[in-house]
Amino acid sequence: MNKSVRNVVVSAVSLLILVLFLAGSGLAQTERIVPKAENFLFFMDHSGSMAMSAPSGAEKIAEAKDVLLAVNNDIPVMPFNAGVFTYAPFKEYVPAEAYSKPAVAQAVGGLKESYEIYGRLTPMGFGLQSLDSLVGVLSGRTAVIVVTDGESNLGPKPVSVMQDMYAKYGNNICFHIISFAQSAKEKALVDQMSAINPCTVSAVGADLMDDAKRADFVRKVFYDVEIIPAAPVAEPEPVKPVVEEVIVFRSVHFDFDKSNIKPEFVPVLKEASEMIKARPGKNVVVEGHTCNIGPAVYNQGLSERRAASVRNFLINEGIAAERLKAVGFGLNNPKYDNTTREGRSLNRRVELRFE
Amino acid sequence: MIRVQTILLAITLMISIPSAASAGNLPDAGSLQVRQIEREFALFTADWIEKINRSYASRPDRVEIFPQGARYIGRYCIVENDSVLWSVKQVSLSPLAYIGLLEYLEWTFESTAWTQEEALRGPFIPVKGRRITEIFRYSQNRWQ
Repeated sequence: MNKSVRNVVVSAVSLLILVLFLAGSGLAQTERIVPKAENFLFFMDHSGSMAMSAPSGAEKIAEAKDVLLAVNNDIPVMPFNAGVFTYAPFKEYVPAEAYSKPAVAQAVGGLKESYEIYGRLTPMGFGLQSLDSLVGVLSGRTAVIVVTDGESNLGPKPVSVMQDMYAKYGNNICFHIISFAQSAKEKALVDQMSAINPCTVSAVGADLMDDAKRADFVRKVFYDVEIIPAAPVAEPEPVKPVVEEVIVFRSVHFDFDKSNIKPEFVPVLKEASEMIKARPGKNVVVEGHTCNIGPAVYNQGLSERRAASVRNFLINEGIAAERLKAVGFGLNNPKYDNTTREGRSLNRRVELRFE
Repeated sequence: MIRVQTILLAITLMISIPSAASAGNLPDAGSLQVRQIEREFALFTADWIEKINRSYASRPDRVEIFPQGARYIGRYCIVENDSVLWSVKQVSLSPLAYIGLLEYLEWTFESTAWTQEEALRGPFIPVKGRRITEIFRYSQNRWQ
């Protein structure tokens, strides 16, 4: 494979990994995971009984390793401290330190199988007491995932030791059980251990090879999902309609078919000019309108002449010409009903519209 | 002659000079006239607003419907009654030289819908307002 092709392949694979990672994160934007503990310890029964066969025919220790490897793989990346320990014998494989998925996997994967069974008793109580000395130096909450077949045939009763540890650490410790118990006696011990504290999550080991059940176990043991309420979406500000200012002349009569303003209407126009002067920052459009009587062209011209006439008057009153624009609309902007005499009279108007 | 002139002067003075001595008891003729003109303007403006509202080409009982793209717009205009204000001004010392200012808010309401029937039903929202000042004059003993 030449270099350029290799580069393309690498880029494509990288992109695929990124996409899968993002898809696999699986959390809605309004959710976040919160760790249930700052520390977790895998505590594996490595006694002779675990080297015995499970119902599947494989050694229980082999199945237990597979389960722990799968659980380890499913644990979300969070700032845990993690350790791997066994009892029977008590041994530290990974000290409780910053969680390293590969380190845990390597330690679990390296646990011996097919070892000598005879004389290898199960001092679970002693093992727990040894673990107690480690838990005591950890800060924060600690989840102890006990992998057991429910055997304990040497030393203090594990239930008593657990009870003592609960009394000592309170809410800072919780024992979870992955059970490979087969006999009624073994299952009874597992049940007793599970019943000490309602925080305990207990599962049958073989069941955890099911992805959904394992995901549920991991979810319950290692983290909570917090729903972050979506930020309230502010109601959009209602759009305020535009309000324009207009002066309307209706009573200003022009001589018929003429645009010159009759003298008696001067006070009305003077008042309008004062209103314009009182708004120095605004320009004014002088609009002439007519009713629909008469030809359109005729009405257009008439409206333009009347608008111009009003504009000239306002200029003579001292309003700057550049502030004033005259426009004729003729009969094209009938705001009022041209089918009635009233409406037609109202349409015959000049409007001064402020801009 | 002097007696007649004196009588005439007295009568003239009685007519032209406001009766200050009796001001506390009776209003003078000028202010009576203003108040009468104002009363007339108040009535005039009420009638005027009614005329405006019933004369709009597009009004609530005659909603205008027109197409806009794939949709229909319903539209009508109406005066906001609570916005109506009026005032009367004397523009010169000439008798009856008054102008009246009538202010009101005119609203254009619109609805948008996929069919004409729906556009007719609404809901309608205000899309444009115009603050209108109409200027009238008092002439021939009436407002126009």
